[in-house]
Amino acid sequence: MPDPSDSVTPRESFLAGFLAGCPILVGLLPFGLIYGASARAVGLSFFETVSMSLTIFAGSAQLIFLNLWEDGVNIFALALTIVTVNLRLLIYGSSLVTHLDKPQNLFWGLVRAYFLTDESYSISMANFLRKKWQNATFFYLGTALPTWLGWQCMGIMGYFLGTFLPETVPLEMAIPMVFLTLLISVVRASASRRAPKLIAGIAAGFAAIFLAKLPLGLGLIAAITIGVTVGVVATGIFSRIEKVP
Amino acid sequence: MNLNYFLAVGLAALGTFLLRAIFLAAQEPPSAPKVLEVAMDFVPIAVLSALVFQEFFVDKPLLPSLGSALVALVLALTLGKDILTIAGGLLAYFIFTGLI
Repeated sequence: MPDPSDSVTPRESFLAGFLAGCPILVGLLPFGLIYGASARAVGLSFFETVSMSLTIFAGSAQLIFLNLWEDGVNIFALALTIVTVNLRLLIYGSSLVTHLDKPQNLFWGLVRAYFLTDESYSISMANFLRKKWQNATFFYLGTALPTWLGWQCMGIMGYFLGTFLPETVPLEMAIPMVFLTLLISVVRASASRRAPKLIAGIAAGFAAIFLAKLPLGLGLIAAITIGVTVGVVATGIFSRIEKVP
Repeated sequence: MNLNYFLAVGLAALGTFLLRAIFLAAQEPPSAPKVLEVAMDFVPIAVLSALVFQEFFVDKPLLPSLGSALVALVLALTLGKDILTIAGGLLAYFIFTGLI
């Protein structure tokens, strides 16, 4: 991986991002297979299965969609549920945009928006917090490509091979392991407000466990909000303590 | 072709895309007040912590999850190699699941 502090071309940034994004495939592939197999089991055609992956491109939301579609939920309620499940993307966008270059035009901005996922956000931020990247948008797009390719291909494979898959697909812990390595990387990269960040992380983590059963995936959003709020409050407390002579 | 299906997918995709695009597609992203700038500093760690805790400890056997998380943590802090951390953590989970 090139040193981001040196002069890095867009191509080098993209390649570095692509390589950083590849480990996530280990965990992502089984979920892609599950999606394809589930879509077929629900009765979707091949075109319907692929069109959802191409347009929504959000793993957990797609699996929830299938579940609700099978239950015959009203289409407007279904769409609203999916948007609610994906609300966290708004938070990701507001955080990520401060590290990316200004988009050259609206089309370019829309392209990079399309590729925003849990994976591309987490991998990019873990790297951006470590060092400032030149051509950061290309790095971010590079991280997104393995996820996109893996998700689309495995969805198709799952559609055709679904009936041959074992009921318990292994590698269920692969994605959590990837997220854990990214979390450690972010903690290590934290130059400022390290103690408040640790407190915020712990608060968000425990909140995520206790609020996991909230409907529509709102537990994750609530946990993130709690973590951030605790972090801001802790920052205020720590700065007051430092000011005390 | 099921038009209702494509309407549902289209609406969900449009809503999801708008969430993605509000900040990332803007030429001049809305400038945030100071308190929000501080808050944004905590978003990555809050997101990752929430994802990690939820992925490890919700609807998964506690002891193998906890054991493998500790093994992965030790590997990450000592070796500092992502691939080895992931492989070691998965191996630990496999072993702990078999043992417990």
